[in-house]
Amino acid sequence: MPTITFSLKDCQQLIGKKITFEHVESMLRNAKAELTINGDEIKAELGDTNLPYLWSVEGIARYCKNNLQLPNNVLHLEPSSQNIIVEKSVKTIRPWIAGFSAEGPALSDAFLKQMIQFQEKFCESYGRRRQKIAIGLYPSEHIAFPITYTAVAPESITFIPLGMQRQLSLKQILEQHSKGKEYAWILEGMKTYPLLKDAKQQVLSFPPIINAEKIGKLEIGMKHIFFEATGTDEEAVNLAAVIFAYAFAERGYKVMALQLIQEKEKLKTPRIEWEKKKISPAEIEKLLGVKLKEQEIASLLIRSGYQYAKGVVSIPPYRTDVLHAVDIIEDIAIVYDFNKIPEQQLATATIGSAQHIVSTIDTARDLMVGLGFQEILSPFLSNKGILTNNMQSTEEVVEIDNVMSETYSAVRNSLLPILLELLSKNKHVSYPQKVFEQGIATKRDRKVIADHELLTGLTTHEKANYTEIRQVLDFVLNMMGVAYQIKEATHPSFLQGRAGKILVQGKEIGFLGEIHPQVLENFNIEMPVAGFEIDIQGLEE
Amino acid sequence: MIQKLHPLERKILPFLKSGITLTQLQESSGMKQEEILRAMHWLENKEVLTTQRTMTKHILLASNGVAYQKNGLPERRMLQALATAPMTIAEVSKKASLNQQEVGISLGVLKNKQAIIMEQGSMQLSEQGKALLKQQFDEEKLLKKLVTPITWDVLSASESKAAESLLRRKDIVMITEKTEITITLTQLGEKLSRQKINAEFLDTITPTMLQNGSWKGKEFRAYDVESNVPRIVAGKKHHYRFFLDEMRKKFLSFGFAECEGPVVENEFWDMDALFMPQFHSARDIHQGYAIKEPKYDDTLSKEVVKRVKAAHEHGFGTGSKGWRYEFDTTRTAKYILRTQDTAISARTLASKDLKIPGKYFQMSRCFRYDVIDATHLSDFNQVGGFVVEENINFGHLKALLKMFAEEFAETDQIKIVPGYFPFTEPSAELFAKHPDLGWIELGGSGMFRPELVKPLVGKDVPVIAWGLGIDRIAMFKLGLKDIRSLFSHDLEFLRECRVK
Repeated sequence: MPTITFSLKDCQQLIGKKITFEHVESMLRNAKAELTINGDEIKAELGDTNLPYLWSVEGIARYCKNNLQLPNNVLHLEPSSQNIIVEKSVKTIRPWIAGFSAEGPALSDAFLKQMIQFQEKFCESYGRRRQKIAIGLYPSEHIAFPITYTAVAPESITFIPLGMQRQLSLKQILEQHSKGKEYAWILEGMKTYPLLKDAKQQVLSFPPIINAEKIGKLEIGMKHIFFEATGTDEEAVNLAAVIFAYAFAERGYKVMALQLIQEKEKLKTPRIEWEKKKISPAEIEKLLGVKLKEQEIASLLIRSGYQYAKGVVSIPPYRTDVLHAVDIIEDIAIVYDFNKIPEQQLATATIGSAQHIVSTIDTARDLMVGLGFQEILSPFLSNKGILTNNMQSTEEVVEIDNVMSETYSAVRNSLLPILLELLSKNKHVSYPQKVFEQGIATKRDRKVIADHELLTGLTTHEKANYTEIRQVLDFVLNMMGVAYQIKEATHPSFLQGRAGKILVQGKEIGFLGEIHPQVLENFNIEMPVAGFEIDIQGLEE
Repeated sequence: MIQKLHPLERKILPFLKSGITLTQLQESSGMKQEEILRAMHWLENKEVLTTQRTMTKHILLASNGVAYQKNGLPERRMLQALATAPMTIAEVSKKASLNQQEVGISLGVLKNKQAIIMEQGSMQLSEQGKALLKQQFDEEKLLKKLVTPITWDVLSASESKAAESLLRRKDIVMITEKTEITITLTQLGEKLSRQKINAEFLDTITPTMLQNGSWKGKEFRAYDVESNVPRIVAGKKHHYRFFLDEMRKKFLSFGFAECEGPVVENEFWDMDALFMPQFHSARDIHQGYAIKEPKYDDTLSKEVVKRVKAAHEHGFGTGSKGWRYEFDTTRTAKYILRTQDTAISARTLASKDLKIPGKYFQMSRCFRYDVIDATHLSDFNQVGGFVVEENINFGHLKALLKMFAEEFAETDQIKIVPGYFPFTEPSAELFAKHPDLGWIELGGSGMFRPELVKPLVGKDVPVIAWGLGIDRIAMFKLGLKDIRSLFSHDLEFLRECRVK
């Protein structure tokens, strides 16, 4: 979720009206943003990761103006004779580029800060850490058009990158410059690297890494600016240019389109398209349950930043998040006000039903409580040391690959180790201790992973033994009407000769016995423990 | 009242009167001191009497004092030995059987009283000495009186002077300080002490008593039922599990059917089937735990993957543009730990058992890639579900959310505000005004996107989806501050934690 900051005063100037912070806040809440203010500085947490045009004050001002029905600065793309030559060599490494030139008032501190902030947030999250999209801004006075977007060998060219004083090759930049080291992963394995240079062979930048110190440094007061975005996704690259073009228009700049010359093809950039979508009052009623007149729909749409004529909605070019009519209808509903939509009761009767196994689970739990056992609820995540090493077990477990903490690095495959761990933490608490847990454990047999609903009980005190836990198990199974047999068996966590497997219709459903002293030592427990574990599914059949 | 008294209280009661002391009570009742003290303490709590503690100083005989009381003080014995004739020190000590120390002290005392005259190694009585033969010393008088210890305060001036002089000598007398308790009966106490006490109150009900009917016609002692008794450790359900049980019951009563899904989920059901694009940053917020082995689920139905892939790529004929990228069919099978319970909703929607109209819910454990603290767990429970029915809309969603708020937060004051979820449009967040906590976020909701519904169900039908933040609800219902206490392993805490 991106968080941006901007000045309330700057925002008021862009809106052209001195509206209060509270007013801005209430409007932006509809755009799923949460605002706080400190002096003049507003901090906005933007909940909708699909609306990047709101990640700068210019977009926020446009949103507010639409909402307040104030006139917007319309974006007119002026033609220009400036070209970007796109060489074939970039096709396989970073194929797309978009850009424009802007001319206007001296660049203000506020606008420069917003552009830098936007570029960071947008390229980091939406641009997948610059891999998908990277942005460059340049003072255009010193640029000799046409610009060439090309791919070159890593050591074939040198230039002075921003923030340094000496010439470095592209390879050296990746090795030595802080930005180079940060983003080198994007170019890993590539034989050539992308490069932007002008007609005089001056390097503009090494996208997506760094601009050139000489002609790639934007400063306050500059009036002529060149913008470019490069990346791997044509639509996303164009979106970046569109959002910036609108921001410049909002600030009163003249924005000029450029020509992309690719082989024999000539294309205008940025592509400003108001996509059309048909929408009917019936569709709106179907989703919202509200009957709206066409006039009302038109007004709600315009207040949401759309254009509307005769059943056709025009979608602003920066709203690439609109995929379906439902996206537009949500905007209508928000401006209409959720509170005004009447509640309707669900009228169709349906029959409630729990998972079939729940009844067996709850009966077993009730019986355990009746036997004086305290129910436990534990995390599903544990670790291999506890689940297998401590239990002297060689069973496979589901292990986490991207571990956050060693304590939680595997999914539990049994509840016995989980409850033994609990006992080890409660040695100071009065005995006897009788605990049980019912819950899911996830077992793995090579490639097959399966969840099991288990019931596990442990008793511990000076005289805890096989007989006691057998009595508990007998009571639970007999009261549930389960026909079972106990057969002596070997289990690495139980003491040999004092352990048995539980069979129902010849099928093994669990184990009981006295926990092996070595296992107790592994858990640092100094009190005898007897326990059982059964698979509830085995009681169902 | 009398019936409620403990046997000890009843035993002491007839001996009580205002002004009586513990010592006196011990004599008169013949009870042990600790018995009297316990009974007095209980009676004081019942406002039958008040007690006053006083410290008293007593003088009593020490070891030499006991002998001197019988045989006379050494100075008296020396005086008497000299009554007949002058003697040397050796002679007199032999005659009066005094040890060397006693001789020294006696000489000092008698010299002081000017009772003896020393002449050339021999001593004899003076006139004063002869007179003293017929008089008792103050010290002797006191010694005689000390058959029992005497309260210091009652000594006369001469007695206390004598006492002080004896205290300076070895082991004749000593001082003890004793705390005495004096009783004053309250009005209730006066009344009670005059009542005739039936000593035949029965205490424990015994089987013999019941068999032979000996209890008949007798009264049972009443207990102080209001006083605290020792705690017992018993079996009980876990507080959070109990809360989840109650929640399930509610959903069943609303007509919802319960669904389930696996803990180790694949990206397909967890995210792709929910129309969350594989490239999108929205997936960051659902970032989950990948597993080591096996990496991929090879049991996924190719048919449903094909439909979801088509929805991602170009909208699957729903009127949507789709996300317009190449869907990765390898990545979709990648195993992760379930990040959201909506994965189960997706599975249910795609199931051949889906009923339209239908109401479904799930209660499941989900996992978040997060650092654990007082408000975050990597392991948490989610409750969510959906309602599918032709001709339902956002108005029905609002009514449903209101019902949830009433049932789970006990309020009808709710706010439904725009929210963002990658799989719903419109999306709404539910806030409820809890009587004590103010506005709290209860959950999220929305209408599932057509690009999600059509590939799974096979047709476009309205689906209201919702999820509730139950950890939060459980915490305020159970009065817990730290989210970790929901899965606590502190047995002392678990034994004491209330279930409801």
